[in-house]
Amino acid sequence: MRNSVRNPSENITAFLWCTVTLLSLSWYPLTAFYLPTTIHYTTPLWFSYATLFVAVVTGLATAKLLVLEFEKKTLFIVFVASALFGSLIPFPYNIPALFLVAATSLRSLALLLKTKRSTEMISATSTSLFVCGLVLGLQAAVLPFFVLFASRFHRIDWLAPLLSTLFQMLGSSASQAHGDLFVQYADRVYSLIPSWEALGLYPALNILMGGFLFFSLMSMPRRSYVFLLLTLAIYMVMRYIGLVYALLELEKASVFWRVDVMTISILPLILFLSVLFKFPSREQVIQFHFLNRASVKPSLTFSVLLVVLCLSATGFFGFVDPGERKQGRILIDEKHSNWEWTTEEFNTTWYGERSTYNYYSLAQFLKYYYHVDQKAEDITDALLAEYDILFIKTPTEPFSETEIVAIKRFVERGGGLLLIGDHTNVFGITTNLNPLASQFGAAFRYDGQYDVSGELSVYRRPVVLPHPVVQQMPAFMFATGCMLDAPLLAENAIIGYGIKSVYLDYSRPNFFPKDARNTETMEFGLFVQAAGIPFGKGRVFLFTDSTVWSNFYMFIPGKPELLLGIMEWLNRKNTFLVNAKPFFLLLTLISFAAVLFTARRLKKGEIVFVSLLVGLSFTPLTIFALEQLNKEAYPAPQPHTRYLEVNFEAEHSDFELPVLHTTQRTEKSYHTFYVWLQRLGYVPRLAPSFQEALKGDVVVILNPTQAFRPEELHAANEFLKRGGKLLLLDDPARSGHAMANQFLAGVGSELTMHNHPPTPISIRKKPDDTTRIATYAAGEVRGGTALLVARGRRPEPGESFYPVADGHDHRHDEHGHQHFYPGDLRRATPQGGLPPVDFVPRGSISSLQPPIDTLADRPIMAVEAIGEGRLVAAATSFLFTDREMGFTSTRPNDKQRRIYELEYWIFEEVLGLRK
Amino acid sequence: MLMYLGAICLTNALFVSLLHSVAERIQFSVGDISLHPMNLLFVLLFMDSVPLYFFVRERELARLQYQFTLKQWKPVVVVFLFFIIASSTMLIPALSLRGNSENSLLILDKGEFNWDKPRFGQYGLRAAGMFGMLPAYLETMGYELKKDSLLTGDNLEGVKVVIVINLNSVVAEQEKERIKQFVYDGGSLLVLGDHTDMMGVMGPLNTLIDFVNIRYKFDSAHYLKRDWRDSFEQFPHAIFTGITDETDVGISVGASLEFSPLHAKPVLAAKYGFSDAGDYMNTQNAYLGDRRYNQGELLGDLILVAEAPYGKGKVLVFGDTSSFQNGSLAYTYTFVQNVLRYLSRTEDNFFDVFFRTGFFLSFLLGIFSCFLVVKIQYNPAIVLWVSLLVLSTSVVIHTMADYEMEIVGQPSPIAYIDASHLNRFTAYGDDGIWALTYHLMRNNYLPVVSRTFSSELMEKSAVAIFISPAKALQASELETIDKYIRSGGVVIWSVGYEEKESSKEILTKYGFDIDNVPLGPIPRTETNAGIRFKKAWPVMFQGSEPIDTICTGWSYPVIAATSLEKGKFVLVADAHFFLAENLEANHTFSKSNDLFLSVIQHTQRPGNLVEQQ
Repeated sequence: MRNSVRNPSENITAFLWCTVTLLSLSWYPLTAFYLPTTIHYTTPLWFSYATLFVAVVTGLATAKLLVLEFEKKTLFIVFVASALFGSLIPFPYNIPALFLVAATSLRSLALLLKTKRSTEMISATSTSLFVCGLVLGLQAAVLPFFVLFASRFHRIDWLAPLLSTLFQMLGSSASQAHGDLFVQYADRVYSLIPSWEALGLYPALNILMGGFLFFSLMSMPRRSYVFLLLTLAIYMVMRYIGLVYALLELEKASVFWRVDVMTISILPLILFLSVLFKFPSREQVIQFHFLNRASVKPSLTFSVLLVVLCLSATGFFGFVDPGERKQGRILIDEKHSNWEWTTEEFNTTWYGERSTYNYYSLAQFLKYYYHVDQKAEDITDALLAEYDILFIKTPTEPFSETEIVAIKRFVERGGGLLLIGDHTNVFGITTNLNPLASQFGAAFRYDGQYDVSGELSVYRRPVVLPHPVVQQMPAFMFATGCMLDAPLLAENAIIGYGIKSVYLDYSRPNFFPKDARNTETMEFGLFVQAAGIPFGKGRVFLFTDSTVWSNFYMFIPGKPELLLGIMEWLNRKNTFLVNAKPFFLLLTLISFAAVLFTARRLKKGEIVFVSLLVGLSFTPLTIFALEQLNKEAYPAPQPHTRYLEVNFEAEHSDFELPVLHTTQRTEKSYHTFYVWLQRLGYVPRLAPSFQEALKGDVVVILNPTQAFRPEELHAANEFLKRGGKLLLLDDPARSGHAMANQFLAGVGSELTMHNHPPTPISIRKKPDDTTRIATYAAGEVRGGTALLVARGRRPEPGESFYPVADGHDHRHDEHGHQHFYPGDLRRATPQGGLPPVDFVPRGSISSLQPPIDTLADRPIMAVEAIGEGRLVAAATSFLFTDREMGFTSTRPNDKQRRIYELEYWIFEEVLGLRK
Repeated sequence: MLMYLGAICLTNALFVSLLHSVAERIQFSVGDISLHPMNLLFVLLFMDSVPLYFFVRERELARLQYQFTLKQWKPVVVVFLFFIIASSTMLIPALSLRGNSENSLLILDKGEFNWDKPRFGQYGLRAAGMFGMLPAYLETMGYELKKDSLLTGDNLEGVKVVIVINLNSVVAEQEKERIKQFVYDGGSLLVLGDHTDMMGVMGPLNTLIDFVNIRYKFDSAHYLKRDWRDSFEQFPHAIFTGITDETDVGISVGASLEFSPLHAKPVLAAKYGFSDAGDYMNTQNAYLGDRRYNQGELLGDLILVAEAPYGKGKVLVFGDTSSFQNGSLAYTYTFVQNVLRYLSRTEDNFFDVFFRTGFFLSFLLGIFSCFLVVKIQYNPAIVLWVSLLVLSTSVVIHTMADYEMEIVGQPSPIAYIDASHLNRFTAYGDDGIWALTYHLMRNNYLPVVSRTFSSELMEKSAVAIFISPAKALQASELETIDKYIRSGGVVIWSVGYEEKESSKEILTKYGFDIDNVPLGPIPRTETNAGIRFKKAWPVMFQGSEPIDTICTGWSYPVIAATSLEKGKFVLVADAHFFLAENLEANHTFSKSNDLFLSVIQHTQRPGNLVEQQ
């Protein structure tokens, strides 16, 4: 008869593996390495919190196997070290420390309590939290190494033959070539790339770390470590096969990265691990505790080695040679590039795609900070001798051998080289760049880069140890670049996450891959998107997306900051400290081996205690020190020439710019209006707060929907009095001008805005301008000096327009704010009667037959002098939306040209900014 | 026992009652992944296994002995032999296609269909015509086809199979009686209909076949998974011999059938599909419903093909006509041949009788031997081992049942299109070969897509086209191709630099290579032949044989050929060249179509010279 009595440790084993697995999965949304970066995707952090909670609950079983006994001093020390780590290191990397803080706090509470039952419960919880904290801590410690590996290594070509065989054994038609796996389903052949990320390396590594920790705590035999590694490898291969079948069934490549699929596919592992790896019962476990002074006193050698390990590892990932600042003389190569021109002026007479896929604004902006020349000459030693930085962007022509040698020599001698590539070898850019990049061990890849969901990806700099290049940079939206093969020791300026690489398709326009949104032929996860390579005395910086600095994106938040960050990094000559990185790596490896060696002579309790003490205290302090050092060494540069800054206030205004996503609603987007200021030579800027906006020369408030605070109104008044210019643009449909009027009154203006129903109107300058602009929506501005007037007009035959309501609708934006968008209303024609506009509030549309009530002009824009400044209020912001002005690449029609001229007139004449 | 069964029943009932709401909820949560209730059926497996687990654990597993010694060989042998015999019966359907058959068919040329073929001037996926190519394919299979709009005693003389398609008027009572008698006397009736009473065919068809109690429903049998992927339940039947893919059955959206189980049996059902109710208000779109699954519509197990015996004959009814239409025939030729071979068989052959008897006897024997084994010595290890043996043997026997198309007559040249090497094309998408097959048909070729590498079929073909294989050819296959070329065949190989890995051997064999210079889409103005390419690469020559450059693009050779004895090997360095995105879209047509035909025409193989329109 089979013995049906089960070993009690079996259940405990299952619980512990459950804890390890859940803790491992919790990192998945927290780090979001494989999840979409677009703002349209909400990272399911709740999943992490839930898994952490359940992990702690299942981890209560550890109390059956582990007994943690602290004396008050050690408890206090661990608490303080954890608290230090938790406060200095940002979320989510401080979670392990927070767990330890909670564990030590609870243990302290248990010491105070007298009831045995509550003490046991609290102790068990404390033990669970402590062990979970240890597991999470170990997983967090290997994270930087994982990122380094995962950003470089994706494909597992050698796995394709094995996978092909396995699929054939399962009855599928499969084959492989060049490391690609082909599986046929129905009448389609799916081409797959076996990769570490598709295999699930990240959760597997986390589980491995957790398993190893448990094995070492419970003195499992050494062969268990190897078996665990093998088990995970086999499981992950099987899981991959399962995912491929899910892909074939669902036809969604997202099965490889989705949180739900990841969870469902990993959870069965708990069952296998529980069966294969049983932890010994309580009697077999060696207890570790920090009771007496002798056992707490750590081995000095071990401590010192740990400190060295912490310092060197942190130094390897975070230290950047401060370098020796150069003169900042930049040469932009125009000979090899017939794209993103810097020499063709972005002015008020030249429009179309070529005018905006253009680096003119970039070059002008750099000239405020550095000495910049653009030359279309062969690159020679003599030419380069006059410059500190060589700026090479989107080369459409190859470099000659002699030019490559000259450039390499230039870098060796201390020059800075910037290489800017783009997606899918468009115009042969990658082909032309790589002979140069390969001199420094790097290569641009022949792919397109997307967010894993297929959108444009958004990058947020690391919360820990950002590279100096990005330390000033806010969230940054890429515009489809490529990936980079960078050397392992290169400085990782931008390691993109949540992105995918899809190989180009030469059969399609601009070689964009077909169905990039849902193709299964992809690599995904972490990729190097920008890297710096110190070489000799000089430096090379490689960036993979040229479009981000095209005129139409140049002054979108993130772009100028990144550009200046790169230039500052390149404008340095290497010092002897440039060799610190390999040195730190070597030291890390040596000290790690030494730590392992010396640890053999120590008790488990000592190892854990000393590791915690050193790791929790030295790591955050080193990180903090390095971050400060980088900030000091690479401060934001100051312009040597003053430029005129037009700040668009974002705190109270309601409009869209392509900051974190492309603007979908043209009736809400003011992108063209924003970019066209560059045609006048101004630098537009999106200021996140009103106070920030007031630091510029001109402030633009667009469709205010939030009330202004008294101190803001006071500051605005002061700004105007000392000569500032302020443009307030509002739309009557937004809020009935309520916020605009609150602002006007608050700054002491006599101007007031008034609502008018949406009717066909024509706008002209006052008093004697004959040019008129036909539009529909404008309020009225009373007081001050009227500069722009509107009068009713009859609609053209067949003309359609967007009826505008004068109240709020009930729609909410992505932030939950209520807004009313004129363009959201359905189109109606004067002849067609009222369409079913069910979301329009009652009585909000006055009439679709425009009441030509009067032919008298009504003022829609007026100016008022306040102190030395000027306040301009216009009740016709809709006129300046992308819907009316067109896109930045538009070849304007007559009406659009008139609107452009109006914009230029407002800024140059009305606000008095003409140079 | 009852308790566990009750638990399983309850679990299932609970699951089914919650299925729709749960599916909707999950769909809401998973967002971009499209789910339907049948996707969740696998949950039942887990739910039912819980009570099953407890049942087995409590009642059975504890008693089992898992040791097995060689002394226990006798029951193993007995059970094994039984299963071998039983497994052999799987050959019945395949073997039942063999034997004598008559080759005379009569199509009732009356109904909502036409005999159009793909023709020049009409382009696009929907420009295939209907049944115009069927006679040519049937002739190739060795059938003699007659058409008549009236069934008389005379024209049924000597006919074995009568085919009725989309009958749109009720046949006269006399005519119907004649058909009944025809079937009763041993003839076969093949009825092809369509969905939702389209053009009024439902009533006449139902009237015609009411004597076998099969009816067309006023619905469309709609797939849940695109192109019926993995959705068919093929009951053991001769017509599925050698059919491995849904595309080769060719069923699209037709009507589902209902029948009396006493008189008829299902042949093909849709496990995953739904009965989309027709809508007589939808006059613009053939009375189709909304083509979406709505709660209340029959979900799963729709009958698509049914069969009924009547007297000595049989009636086979299809809810859809697509399998026999021009657009499908390149894929469904084997299926069509199976259907007609099955229907035209004159009598049960020896194998059929033998195996039917064998099956019955082995079944009895098996029950008896199993009883003995359980009675004498119950050992799960025996069951386990025997199951494994039986499974593997069954697979072997099953593969023996495959057979290929037989080419008897050859009125038109055959164009062999290889689909046995994970070739990167689909049937009907932008990356499909429908445009290629249509154009071959326009030029009187009979395209045949082969999912297995068939040397016999290739030998009888005028041209063999290989498009971007992802699986390398075996040495024997290369040898077959070489023999084929040397005997006068033309092999056209379409592959680009990125896909050439699996074609390396054959390219090297004939002295070709492809250079890594992406030429991308070449407009027709940039090629010397005035044709366009989608994703071209330069051809490189390495061999000693003379090379004929057929087309250059931007001065690079992109199509080249080498002559070997009587035949040619043509390399088209563009994996997309033959795909619809390059050849043909709705209302447009690329001259690229013509070039490869001119290549074929210049070979010496008989039957290749086709009339160019």
